[in-house]
Amino acid sequence: MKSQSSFAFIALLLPLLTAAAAAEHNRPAASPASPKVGCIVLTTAAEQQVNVAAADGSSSVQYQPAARVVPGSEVVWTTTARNNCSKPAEKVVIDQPVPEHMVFIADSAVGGGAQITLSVDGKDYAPANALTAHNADGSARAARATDVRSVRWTLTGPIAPQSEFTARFRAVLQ
Amino acid sequence: MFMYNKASRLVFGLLALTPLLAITPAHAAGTAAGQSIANRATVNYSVGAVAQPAIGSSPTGNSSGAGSDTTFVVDNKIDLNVLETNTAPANTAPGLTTTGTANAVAVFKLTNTGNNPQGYTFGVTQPAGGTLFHTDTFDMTNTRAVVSGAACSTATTTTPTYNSGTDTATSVASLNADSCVYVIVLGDTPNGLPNGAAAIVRLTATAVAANTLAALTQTAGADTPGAVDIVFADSATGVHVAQIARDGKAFDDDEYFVVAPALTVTKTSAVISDPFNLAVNPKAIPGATMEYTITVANAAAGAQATGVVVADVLPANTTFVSGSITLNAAAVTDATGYTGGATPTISVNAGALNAGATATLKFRVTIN
Repeated sequence: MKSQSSFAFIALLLPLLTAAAAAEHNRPAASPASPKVGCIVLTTAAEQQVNVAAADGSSSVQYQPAARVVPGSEVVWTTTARNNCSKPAEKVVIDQPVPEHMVFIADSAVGGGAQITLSVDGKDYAPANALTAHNADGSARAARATDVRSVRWTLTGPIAPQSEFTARFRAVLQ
Repeated sequence: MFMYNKASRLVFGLLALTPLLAITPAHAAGTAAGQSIANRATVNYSVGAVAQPAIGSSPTGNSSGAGSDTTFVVDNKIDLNVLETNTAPANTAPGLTTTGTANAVAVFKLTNTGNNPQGYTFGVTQPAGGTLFHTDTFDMTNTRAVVSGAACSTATTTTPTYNSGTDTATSVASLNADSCVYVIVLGDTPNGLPNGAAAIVRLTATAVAANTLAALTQTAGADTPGAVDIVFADSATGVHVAQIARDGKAFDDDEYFVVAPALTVTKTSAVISDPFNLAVNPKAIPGATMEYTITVANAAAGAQATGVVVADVLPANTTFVSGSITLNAAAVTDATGYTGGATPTISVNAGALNAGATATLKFRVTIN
C-alpha cells in the first residue's frame, strides 16, 4: 500500500538521518590518519601597522608582515576565520594567546561583531574592566595589560558562507 | 716658614667621591636576537547547532586539526651608550706623560643596551674649541683608549683608577647585552701650559661583531623571516651630548684640565710643661717645654704636590729637644730632621701631598 510504503520509506530514512546526525555529533577528533576538513579556515599572521600615503596626500593604515622585530617593536597578531562551507558557522569563539616574551597592549583587541574578553591564565575569561589578577600574597587586584595571557573573541552572529571574520590585537616584544 | 718643591705633578686619577646616578634604561636589554616567537589561535564553532571539532590556525590557513605555529625570529638590535663617569675634568699638569701610576686619565662607561653580545672598537678625537667644564684651549698628544679591568655594574657608576699592568686591551671582544665595561682614555700633556688650560677629548665606541670585530651593516631590503637581521637602534638623544641616530656608534666628551697645587701653611705652639707647674696649666717661663706644630695642607681641588719639605728655623732663645721631631705622628731622627749650628733648623721631607691631604710636623724646644 502507498501509505505503508511511504511509512516504510520514512522508516528507512529516519535511521539514516539519525545516523548522519549522530555521525556529525560524535565526529571523532581529527587525527593525522584521517583529518576531517572543517568549515573554517583559520589563519594567524604576525603583522606591523604601516601608514601608507596615498597620491592625494591622505594616508591609510595597512598591515604588512612583521619585519625587523626587535625588543620594543609592536606586533599586530591578526587571525582570520573564513567560512568555506555552504552553511553558516555559528557560536564562533576564537582564542589567541599572547606569546611568551610579548606584552599585551591595553585596549588593542579589535574584531567587529564579537564580544572581546581577556584571560590572565588561559582558562577563565572576563571583559577587560572586570578582569582580576592576584598578587604574590594571594590578594586580588585589577588586572593590568602585563597580566593578559590570552584574548577571546565570541562572535555575536554567525559567519555566513564565504565570509570571513578578522580578529586583531597588538603586543610589544620585550 | 716652609718650603716646597715647585715641580708639581698631577692628581692621580679621579676617585669619585659620590657615584653618579646611573642612567638605567626603562627595560632590560630584552629578548635575545635569534629567539623564535610562536603563536597559534584556536576556533570553536557549530554548524546546524552541532558543535564541530576545534581547529588550530596556521600561517597560510588551516581547516582541520591542530594547525601549526605562526613564527618570527627576533632580530639583532644594535644599541649602546658611552658616558663620561664623574662629571668632572681629569686634572693634569704640563709635561705629564702616561707612565707610572700618576697620569691623566679620562674614564668612560660603555653599556650594551642591545639584545645580543657585541664587540666594540674605539676612537679618540679632540673636537676643536667648545666648552665642557672649561673652554678647550689645547690638544693632548698620544691619546688612546684602553679597556679597564675593573668590574662594571649597570646599576651604579664609579670612576676606576688606571692600572697600567692590566688595562692594556684596546678593544672589547664580546660584551653581553645589558652589561657594561669602563674605558680609559690616556694622553700626554704638552709642556708650557698655563693653569686653567683645558683639552676636550671625545671617546667614540663602534659596535662590531663579537669576537671577529667585523664591521656591522644594517640588513637592507625586506625582512628575512627565519634569519636574524641587524637593526641599528641607537637614538640621536644623548645623556650628555647629542648623538647620531642609527649608526651603530655612541660617544661622549671628557676634559683634561691643567691645575697647580694649592698649599696653605699654619703654625701653632703650645706649652707642654714647666719646671714648677709641670704639665698642669704650664706657663711659658724659662725652662718650660714648648711644642710647635706646622701643618701644610693641599686644597681639595689642588694638583698633587711632590717633594714637599716642611721646615722651620728654631725660635731665638730656645734649645731644641732632641728626639722630639714627628711627621704625621711618626718619629723623625735628629740626624734626618735637625741641623744645629748658628741658625738651628728643623727640615723634614713630607713627600707627596695629594689634593685634600695634610702633612703635620711637630717638634719641641725648651725656653732658655
